[in-house]
Order: sequence, then structure tokens, then C-alpha cells
Amino acid sequence: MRDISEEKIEQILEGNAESLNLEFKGEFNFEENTWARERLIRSVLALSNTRSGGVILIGVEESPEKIFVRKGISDAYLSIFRSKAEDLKSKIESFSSGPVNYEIGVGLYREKKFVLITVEEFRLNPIICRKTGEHSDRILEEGAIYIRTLKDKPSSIKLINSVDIQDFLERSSDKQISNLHTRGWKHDTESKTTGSSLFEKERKGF
Amino acid sequence: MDAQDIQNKLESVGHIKVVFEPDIYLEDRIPKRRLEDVLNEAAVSLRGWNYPHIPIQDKETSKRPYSIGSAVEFYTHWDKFIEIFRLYQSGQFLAKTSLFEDTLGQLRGKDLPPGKYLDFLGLIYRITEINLFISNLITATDIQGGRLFITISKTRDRELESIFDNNIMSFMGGYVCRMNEVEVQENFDREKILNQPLIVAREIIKKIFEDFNWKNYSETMIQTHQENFVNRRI
Repeated sequence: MRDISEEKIEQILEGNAESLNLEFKGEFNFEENTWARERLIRSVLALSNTRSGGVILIGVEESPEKIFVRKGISDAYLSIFRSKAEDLKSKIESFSSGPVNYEIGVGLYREKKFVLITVEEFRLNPIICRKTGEHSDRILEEGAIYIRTLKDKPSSIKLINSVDIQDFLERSSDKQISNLHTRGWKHDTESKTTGSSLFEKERKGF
Repeated sequence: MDAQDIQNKLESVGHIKVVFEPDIYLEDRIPKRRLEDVLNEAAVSLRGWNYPHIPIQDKETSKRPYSIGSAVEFYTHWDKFIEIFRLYQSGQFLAKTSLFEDTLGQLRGKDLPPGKYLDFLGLIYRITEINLFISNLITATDIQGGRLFITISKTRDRELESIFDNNIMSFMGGYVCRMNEVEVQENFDREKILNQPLIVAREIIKKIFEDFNWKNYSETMIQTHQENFVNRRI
């Protein structure tokens, strides 16, 4: 786990609100709380399918009044989390159809500890959940694609909305095309206006 | 003071211009709202001043990243620093930073006439941090490689010298550039810049030294200074 600067956490907490690319979570016992653990894995899968990926900050709880409270994470729970980081990795791998790129960091903000999980957007193929989780709430379901959405409130949900599906498919095909580009493929239209001239156009006057 | 004033001031002193072009042009490679995050993730912090330095407050002399359409731009004019940067959604990165040798005026009581010197150690550090930044930029995006252009302006009759480090002997005017500007280009793929940013930087440094007519430099010497720099031993 890498160290996260206080400035970085402050930036994330600025506005005290979740977004498409930011999810808050309260502390929990990673070993014993299956419900929270599977929700965390679902959030990681969802962010990896979300444009630009995103971050999960553990240590921020939503109060009954729907206000985010920066409680931090206790040493006991942090210690469990640290010791189970490898376990989290294997659990994510067991639920995901492809590689999920993420990084875990720990940082102090106003003398409270927070865990930050930074998740990259999928590189080539979207991430599909490949098995159903243990919890009876069916938090993770085989065959589901999870994404972050802003509908009602920012949350990690199963992909069912037609607009989200459209965006998701477009992104996926863009990535496939980009991958073909890197292998030297060029579409006919690109030979007329080369990348270089477009870059030159951008920097004109600088 | 606005961006045009900064550009005008930069034109009046020696400066280093950086252009990084990704290998493929993708207009929306980086979502606009992510540009500042990408910059923060990629910035290199090895000495008291990050590369690129991203102001955290708007002042008369500096501006935080602001949108100029398909890019964000930010700048600083403070003390010896005159610099302006842009990061485009396409992944193209542009920078102009003043040569401290031209903006300090004096060092340890000795005059530093603008246009006279280029500190060889400062050059090694600057080119190294530019390459580390590009490496970080590529890590933070899906850029698969690209072309890096580095241009140093006002180089005619400028001497490569050791002026900031007291422990290194003077070059005594031995290495002088006779060209108005020095322009160097280096191409690389993702794997090379991610795994060997110091080697890519060294290729550029060597070409610049050669344009200052320094031919018998030691590559090990450059590497040692780079390692001291990245390991914060300066």
C-alpha cells in the first residue's frame, strides 16, 4: 500500500460529495463483514467499467441525515485491511472477467486514517462479474456488468439503463479501435489528416 | 498579467520549450474534467518546485489550470520562474520554462548576464524530470508512445557551465553553442518510456551537450547525476 498525501485526501473530500468517479465508504471489518466486502468489490468492478475509472475512499460514513462524516478508519480495521490486501486482490480476480487495475493507499487527514483505492478504467475489454457472491442480498451476480451512475444519486449499479449501455458499448469499441491503432492499423480517412497535423493545429500559437 | 504576457516574457529570455505528441491523435483521449487530475498524478516532485508546477491559487502572477477549450492551461511568473503549460485532451503536452541562468540576474554576488550560460547540471535535472513527467503522463492514460521535442532558445554563444554547484570546477568557456536554438527530438513507445525514462532523458541530454560542442562527456557522469537527482541526493 502506498502513502497518500494529506493534500490528495483533502482534494477528494473537497465538496463532501460522491460523484461518478468517487465513492465514499465507512469503515468495516474486511474479514467478517461479507456484505460490506462484496459491496466494495462491486464498487471496484463498477469503477473499472466507468469512464476514467475513479476512487473509493474508505473512512467516510453517510449519516442518517445523508451527510458524509469523515470518521476515518480505526487502527484495528486498518490492520485487518492491510493484512487482507492480497485477499482482496484474489477476491477481485475471482469475480472479474479480466484484469482490474487498481492501487491501494493509506493516508492521514486531520489525524484520521483513510484508505484510498484508485481504480483504472478497463483497458480493452469491459469487466463482467463472473460468479455470484456469497451474501444472500446477491450483491454480486454472475453475468452482471456493474457501472457507476449519477441516476438519483451517485451509486454502483448493474448496467440496465439504455443510455448507459449505449455509452458503455461505444467506449468499448473505441478502446478496441485504439488498440488496433497501436498495432499499426489506420482507417482510410486518417491518411488524409495525419495525427501530427492535428497536434500542430492544437499547438498553433503556443 | 495573462498568458500572453507570460509568453512575451518567455520570448525575452532563454527558455526550454517542450512538446509531447502521443503516437495517435484521439481528440477525447482524456475527459476534460480529468485533465487536472492527470496533471497532479503525473507531476514530478524531486526538488522544491514540481514539474510542471501547478498553482493551487489564482494570483496576479499565477493561475491554476483553466480551460481553453480542448486543453487546460496554467502559468506562473514568480521569482526566477516564468513558465506556462498546457495539457490537451488528446494527451498533447506543451511547456515553456525560463532558464534560471537568464532570470536570476545574480548568484552568490556574481552577475549572471542573460544569454551567457547554461548550467549543465540544471539541464540534466530538467531533462530528467521532463521525461519522468512524460512517463507518469503515459502511466495515467492509455497513450502508447509518442514523440518528444525539446527546444532551447537563445543558445547562440551560450556557454555550458557549472554555475549552481560550487563543488564542480568551471568549464572555462570550453563548450559553446553557435546555433540560435537547439532542438532535439526523441521517439519512444510506452514500454521504453515507462521502463527506461532516465535512458531516454540521457539520449536527449547527450544530443544537447553535443550541440554545445561537448563531445567527450562521460555517460556515467550523466547517469550518476540523474541517480543523485531521482534519489533526492542533491
